[in-house]
Amino acid sequence: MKYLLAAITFVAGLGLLLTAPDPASAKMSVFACEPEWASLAEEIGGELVETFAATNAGQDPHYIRARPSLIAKMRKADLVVCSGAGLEVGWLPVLFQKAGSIKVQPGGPGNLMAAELVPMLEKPVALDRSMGDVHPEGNPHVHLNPHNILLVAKELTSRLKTLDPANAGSYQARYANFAATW
Amino acid sequence: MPSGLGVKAGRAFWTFGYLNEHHTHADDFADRPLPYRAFLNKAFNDDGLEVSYVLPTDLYAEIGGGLFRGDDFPFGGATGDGGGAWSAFARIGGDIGADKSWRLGGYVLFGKADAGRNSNEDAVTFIGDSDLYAADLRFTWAPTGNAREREVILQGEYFRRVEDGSYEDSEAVTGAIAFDGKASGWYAQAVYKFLPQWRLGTRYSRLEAAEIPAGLAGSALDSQGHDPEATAVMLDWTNSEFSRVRLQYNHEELSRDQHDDQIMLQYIMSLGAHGAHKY
Repeated sequence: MKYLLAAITFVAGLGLLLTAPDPASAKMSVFACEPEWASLAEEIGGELVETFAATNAGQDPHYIRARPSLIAKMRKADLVVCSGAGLEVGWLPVLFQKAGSIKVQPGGPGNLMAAELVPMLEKPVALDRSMGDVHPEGNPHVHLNPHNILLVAKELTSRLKTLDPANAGSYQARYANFAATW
Repeated sequence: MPSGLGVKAGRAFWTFGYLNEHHTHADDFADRPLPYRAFLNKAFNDDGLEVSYVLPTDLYAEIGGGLFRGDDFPFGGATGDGGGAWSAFARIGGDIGADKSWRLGGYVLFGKADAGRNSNEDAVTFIGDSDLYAADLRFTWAPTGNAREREVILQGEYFRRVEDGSYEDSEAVTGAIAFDGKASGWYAQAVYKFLPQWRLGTRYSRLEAAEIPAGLAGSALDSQGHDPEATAVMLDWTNSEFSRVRLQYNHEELSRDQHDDQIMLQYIMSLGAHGAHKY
């Protein structure tokens, strides 16, 4: 009985594995931590990308659980776009560990943290626990400054061109259009 | 390491049911439910290796399995080399709208206690094969998916243990009696966060004892037709990520003549940086 159960689990797992869609033939999959970055990715990528926003405007990104749907979406992500600077530190590392491919890990070409590209404000000079929840790298709510959006859009275009060189021309054209109208 | 593949080795809280992977300080109650106490001695914490794989599907799906020494409860007496126990699991989960999420899992944990497994303060010894099956379901809801102010979590697990070997109760002097039977247990809990720092929870757990052979009548294993059950109600206040105070009331009827009422006050404190907890 027990070997039958094990065999069924193994075969079911194998079956799911083999029937899963081939990621190479699908669109570029962008995992955005906040809806603003998903929206930006849609502007630059258009029909060539499939975006997913891990949080919605009604949620506080500091207090998200690394729930099953996020794990599944991270699993298929080619590019991860987040604010960084500790905004998502409560839940993003668990997702990278559980389901992130090598290219979306911090430092990889598929990992884009907005806080690394823009000038950071309110970096604390001295820091200790008694100050409560203070972001050590500075104020991470960088999407609130419209000038920062353009800086991130430029880097996002460059990353998309690196990860999907076949469509580099389209991304560049869409960025040029975005930069002109933003 | 291919994406989605995870390997864990050493001594750990292995993937089995919902609570086993979590440290007790992260539990919603001050004590573990009856099935965890009876079938896992609170948690399965053996030495071994576990491999897991997240499938590249739109619906979260994960499968995995492990190989263990077989030294920790519900197994025992591992001699050091070779695997005395193994496990397999499969989980699926997803969102319902923007405000609800769920996860369902099925698990098996098979092994043997060849040199004996002791329980009941070493009065009871089991030698033989012990097979554990479990299923868990967890459901969360928060208004617009924001768990900061209000949240409801529903959770339940079901366990079934099939054992084939012999039991001996040295206090009741039964001698080793052949045993081939099934026991089961389950719990269901609901936790309601009604203010950012306050949560109210309630939990019911129950065990269904196996039918025992005549030779074990009157021993610690004889429940005399009574199914142990326990009800818990708790209120906790979370000062910050680093401290929580909990007040819990338990009403337990573990044996026919034993009705316990317990009141517990628990203080949970963390020092230093701590990684995020799993779902």
